[in-house]
Amino acid sequence: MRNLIQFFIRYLVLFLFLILETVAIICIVNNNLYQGSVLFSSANKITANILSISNNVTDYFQLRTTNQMLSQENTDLLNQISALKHQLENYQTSVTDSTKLPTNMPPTVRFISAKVVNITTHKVRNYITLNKGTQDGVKPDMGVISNGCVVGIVKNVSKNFCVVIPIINSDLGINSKIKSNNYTGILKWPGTNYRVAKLHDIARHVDVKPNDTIVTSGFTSNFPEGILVGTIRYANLEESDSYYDIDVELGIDYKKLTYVEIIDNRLYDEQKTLEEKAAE
Amino acid sequence: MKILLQNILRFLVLLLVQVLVIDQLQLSIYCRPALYVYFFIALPVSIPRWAEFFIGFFVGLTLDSFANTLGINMAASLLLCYIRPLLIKAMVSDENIVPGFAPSLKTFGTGLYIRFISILVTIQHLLLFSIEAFSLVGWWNTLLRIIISSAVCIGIILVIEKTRKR
Repeated sequence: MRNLIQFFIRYLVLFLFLILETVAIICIVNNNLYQGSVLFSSANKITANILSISNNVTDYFQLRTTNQMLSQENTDLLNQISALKHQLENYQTSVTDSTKLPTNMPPTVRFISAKVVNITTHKVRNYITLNKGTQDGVKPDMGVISNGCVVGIVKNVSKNFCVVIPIINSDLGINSKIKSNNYTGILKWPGTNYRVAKLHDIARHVDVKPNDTIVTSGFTSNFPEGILVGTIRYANLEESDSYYDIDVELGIDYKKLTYVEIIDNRLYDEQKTLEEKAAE
Repeated sequence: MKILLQNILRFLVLLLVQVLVIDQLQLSIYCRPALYVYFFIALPVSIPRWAEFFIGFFVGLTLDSFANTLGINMAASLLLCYIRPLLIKAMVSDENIVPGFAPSLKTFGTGLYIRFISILVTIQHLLLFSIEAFSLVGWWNTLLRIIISSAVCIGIILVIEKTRKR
């Protein structure tokens, strides 16, 4: 009897191990479903707060470059405003007496500015945590840009934080096109250098040159068309291949990323539901 | 009681160092030591095996929550906690194990201790990086990552053990 119990206890330990290991493996396999995973991610209250406290400290080391960037961006925006004002005045004088322009049309795209709380660049699946959440109107699948360059797509959202999958996460593919000839392909990160991604699906008849600009295609509604992704650094076509091997230098330097803008596309839901209806 | 507090403190310190220092430094894509393994290595031997599983599960979950990799650290830590008692049994004879015995440079002796941590650290990194790179073709990168990160991790653990108070 005693032997039997001991025998049982010994196997109980093994069973316990197997059960817990199975739970872990299920977690790994299901990690791509974002329902429920907010609880155990860096968007969770405790982890996000610890990370943002440490981020508050390390921020001071980057103040100088961030300030420079912000002032540069400010001047660019001011220049744009003055240019647009000038254009608007020109239009107004020519239009006033014939038809009236719709003045109170809300813009279809709104930007939510956010700050990076945590970011990794050295893993195969990197993530970014931002300090904006449902409270500020952030929803999953929104696009994220910084300085006019693509950063990534929002994955998880909690009340005050959200987690972004950047381009440098091998799970993400961004539909992008070569600006000069409009051929589209999928941009994916191979998991090595954080500055370089690969552009797939560009067929061999396309004329590809180094230093061509890669922009978003606008086919997916996360990003409007024409946002900078990067520039082609190297393009190679083997005799036997039907697709190019293209290295794209990303426009964004993830190691310097501090402030980003989340794109809130007002028409996203409309487009998505229409597309889903059509696919049925 | 003292041992319990000591271990909880060690866990908190290692967690903070791992999450706020090592993961933030991002030295290189090849150098990402999982220093928290040291917590498992230094656990006392007298701890029941089921309790060790739950500790491994919980520690893995905590680290996964910070790194957004639900399951990866969990699976690796659990397997480590399964292997550790078996390894100790194979390496140390029973009469040496007194109450409160915990693996350290002093109790194991230099040669045996280095062998002990090398095996555990390498297993942990092997699991972590190969699960992470599951869908990738770049196995050569993964191998390099495992080797460099393990070596750095073993080095740091030895430095910690050397500077530890008697």
